[in-house]
Amino acid sequence: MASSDSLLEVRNISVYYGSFRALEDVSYTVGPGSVVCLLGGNASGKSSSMKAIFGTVPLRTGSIRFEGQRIDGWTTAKRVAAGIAAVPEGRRVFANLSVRENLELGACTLRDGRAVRTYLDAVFDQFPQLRERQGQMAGSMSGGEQQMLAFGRALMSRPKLICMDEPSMGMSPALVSRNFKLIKSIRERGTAVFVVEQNARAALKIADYAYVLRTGSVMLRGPAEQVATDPQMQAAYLGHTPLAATVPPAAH
Amino acid sequence: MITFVQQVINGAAAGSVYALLAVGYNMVYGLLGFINFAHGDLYMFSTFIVLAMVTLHVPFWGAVAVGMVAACFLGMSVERIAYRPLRTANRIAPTVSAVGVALVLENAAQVIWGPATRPFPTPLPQGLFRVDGVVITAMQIVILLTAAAIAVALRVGVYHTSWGRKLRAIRDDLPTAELVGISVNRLVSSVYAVGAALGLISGVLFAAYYNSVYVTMGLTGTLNAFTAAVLGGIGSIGGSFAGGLALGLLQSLGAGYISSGYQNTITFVVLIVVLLLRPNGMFGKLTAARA
Amino acid sequence: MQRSAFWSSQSAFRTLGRLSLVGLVAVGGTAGSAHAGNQSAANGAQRAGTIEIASFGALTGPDAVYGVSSLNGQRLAVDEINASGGIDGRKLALVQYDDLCEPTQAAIVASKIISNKSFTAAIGPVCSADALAALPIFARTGVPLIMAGDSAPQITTMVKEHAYTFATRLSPQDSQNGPELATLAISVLHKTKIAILYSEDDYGQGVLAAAKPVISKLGGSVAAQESYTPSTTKDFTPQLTKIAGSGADVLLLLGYYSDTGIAVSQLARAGVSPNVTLIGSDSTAQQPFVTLAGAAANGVYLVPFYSPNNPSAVNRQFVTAYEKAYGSAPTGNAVMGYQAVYTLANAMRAGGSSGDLAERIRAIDFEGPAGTVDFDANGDLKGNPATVLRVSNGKLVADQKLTIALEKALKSD
Ligand SMILES: Nc1ncnc2c1ncn2[C@@H]1O[C@H](COP(=O)(O)OP(=O)(O)O)[C@@H](O)[C@H]1O
Ligand SMILES: [Mg+2]
Repeated sequence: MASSDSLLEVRNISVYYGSFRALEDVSYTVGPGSVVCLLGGNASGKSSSMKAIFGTVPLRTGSIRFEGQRIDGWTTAKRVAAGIAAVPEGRRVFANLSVRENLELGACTLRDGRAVRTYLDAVFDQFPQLRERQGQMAGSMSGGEQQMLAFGRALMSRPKLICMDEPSMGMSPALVSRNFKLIKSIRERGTAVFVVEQNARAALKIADYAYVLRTGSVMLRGPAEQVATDPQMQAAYLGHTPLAATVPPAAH
Repeated sequence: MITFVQQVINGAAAGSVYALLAVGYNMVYGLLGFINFAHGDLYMFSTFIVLAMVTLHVPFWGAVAVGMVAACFLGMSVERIAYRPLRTANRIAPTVSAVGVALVLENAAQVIWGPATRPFPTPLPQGLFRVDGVVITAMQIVILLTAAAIAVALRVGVYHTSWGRKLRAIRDDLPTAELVGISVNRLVSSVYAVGAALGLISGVLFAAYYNSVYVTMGLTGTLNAFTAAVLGGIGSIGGSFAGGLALGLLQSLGAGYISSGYQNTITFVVLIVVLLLRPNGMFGKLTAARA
Repeated sequence: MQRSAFWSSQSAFRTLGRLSLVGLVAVGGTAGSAHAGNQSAANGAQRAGTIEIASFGALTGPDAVYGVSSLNGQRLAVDEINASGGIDGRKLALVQYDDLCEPTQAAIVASKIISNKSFTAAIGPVCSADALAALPIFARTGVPLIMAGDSAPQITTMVKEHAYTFATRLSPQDSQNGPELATLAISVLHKTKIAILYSEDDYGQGVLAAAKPVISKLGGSVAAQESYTPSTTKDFTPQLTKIAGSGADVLLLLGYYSDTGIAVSQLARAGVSPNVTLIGSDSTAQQPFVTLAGAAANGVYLVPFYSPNNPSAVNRQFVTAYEKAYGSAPTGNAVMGYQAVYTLANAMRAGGSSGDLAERIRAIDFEGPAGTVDFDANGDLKGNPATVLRVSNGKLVADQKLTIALEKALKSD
């Protein structure tokens, strides 16, 4: 993908926690309206990649561009206002706030109050259960409902890109398939999705492009169908064996 | 009976002043879990600024406005310099930092304004009414009304504005609040400003009611705010008001019916008993009123 | 007049506060001794002929009002003496130490003073508890110590028991003020139902203990007796409400003006009748009492051991000089500091440089602004007649008639 028509362009970033290197010279590109998935075993740096996009961890090296603009010096709030939204790992709804308040907070970077009400209605139309429970404390809902709320909250700012960190973690198969349907419907509206998934087989079915991380480096990348048929991938991931367990450590 | 009613009225007025101080202190605790040991000293320092302005013949309300701006500025500076760099550190570090700020403010006030207790000239009404032998002063009415108005305003601010919604989100989950696009630093800063402004209001009422401003009112203020907060429920806004009133009534009735010499002892005995029976304070569990 | 470290729930906080003060001073490089007035005195040992005097007291902290007043009085006296040629041509120089009105700090300061051999004598402190901590340390070298502002009776006991002949005390005694207040109320003003508001510390308790036997001896009764924590209590309404309900016709205020002034401003709101006569103890008799108490101060009787209104020539000259130097009327602490320096100077003049200076200090007898300076066998100041003041239009005014009446009543008892 040429950088001129990419929505998000992460180039050669490294992230360190103290002296521990979580990401080393990693690049991703997300085109407008596309679905890009990020695969990788535990502790391979997937969440760190998300945090780098939102600026909640500092970059040691590299740059991040959104719609052609350098955003790596920006505050998180400014990045969200520019059109990037998050569905964080483990959903993280505001448990002591009502469903409605959670959704309103999703639009906290918007200035136009009338637009917020319109968007809220749109989210309620998409998730009627949330409308029914709008006054309920978010923490009192089931895991599946909270996941729905986390999606709804991210949609409230009408972002151009939604970043999801393992939305299917701990979900029942039925809910997982609902998540994938949702991702498809989001893409159909023209919103790009950058999604971390463990369920590689299902993720590769809906994604346009995929990256596979191992111990902080991209070990494999390509169009989704190509990655799906990659022998390394076949052996490691799609053959029901955990990736981290079978892929030999990288020779440094 | 007259004596009892009198003690209750006086205790409620004193308690309302404690409550306004406690609520600013408690907001910071509720939001970030820091014990703000500098809160009382901010209140002392900004009240001194009002007094200094009045001494320079600035009209009273102008002086209060200057004091309010100064309090907000001081509160935000303290947050920026002493607390923000330590927000992700353990809880001890900002607490120690707060004690440091308190000492700096205290010593600065001592150097600038001296150690003597100063009277506080005020245009606030000083008259009094007698109802069936019970005395109620105009100042007490001003204090009670101000406290009630601020309690309502805070309730509305925290539960019915986008500012309050953001605060509650930060309190619930700070990293996620940041991720949804809340400018956490700005919001935290605003809470310190509001806390300091409430402290100033409490300071002006205190100074006008007791006709005194003095350096050590900072330490006493921190201690009273802490006691009121613990009594009412640490981190709870409603609890701050309840705790402040409880503290005022305890001191007044304790001194009136047990012994004035044991005023502080009585307060601490009750504090310990409350903590043993209800470790989260009187209102700690009952309300979700934490912001 | 004196402050003793009192136990309160805040002591830990206060200690913290003080530690920081010590810290700040240490960072400033002066390590507890502030050479505010006479910088050159620090290396005075090399400057032949200078008479160095160690001066210590609370110069910072909540009790600094007392220490600073005393120091002002001392400085004025030193300047006067130096301007008129010093003592046999030798100039006096004060070296200040801050003891924060903390006994632990007073002990440190006392050790510093005695280890510096260049001091001729020491003046201080302003808090009784500090004096009790410092006395045993001064006893190690026996450098003459003139205490100015420590009124607790325990000091007499200590000086007597250990035969501390190096020490003299230029302070009024709590045991003298208590009977004066009781006598004024009962014998002079004919008020017998007495309410008492006293400070919960050595000072308030000392005056109270001395007043009570006199009250019963004179046929009065104690209708209410309430206390408060000095410099901490700001809401006096619980105590005053009880006093209002006791039916007392006179209220004795036994405490520092900074507390009693606020208490008096709250009388009305506690329902205390304006017909109740108010009498304030020595430590209440300061002009700022009126500023704190406001209009309610008018008519209050005060019985200080010293009044700037004292008509003697030496006092008038002192008050004029003091007001010129500091822009305010001298307080009791200021006059004690002033008299302390003259006590030392007169003793040195009396015997040249030979003989025991401490002995000569005890033998001194001269007229100071506050009356005769003359010590008894324990080094305590012999009692001077009390002055009765009354607050009128916001001013402390000497009441000659009542002063004479009180003197007579005290003699007849
Ligand atoms: N805040 C942190 N401090 C120190 N190490 C961290 C921190 N967050 C993540 N790590 C480490 O960085 C590596 C990558 O973590 P992460 O990005 O969360 O991986 P993933 O999401 O792929 O499981 C892991 O080894 C993890 O232990
Ligand atoms: Mg992760």
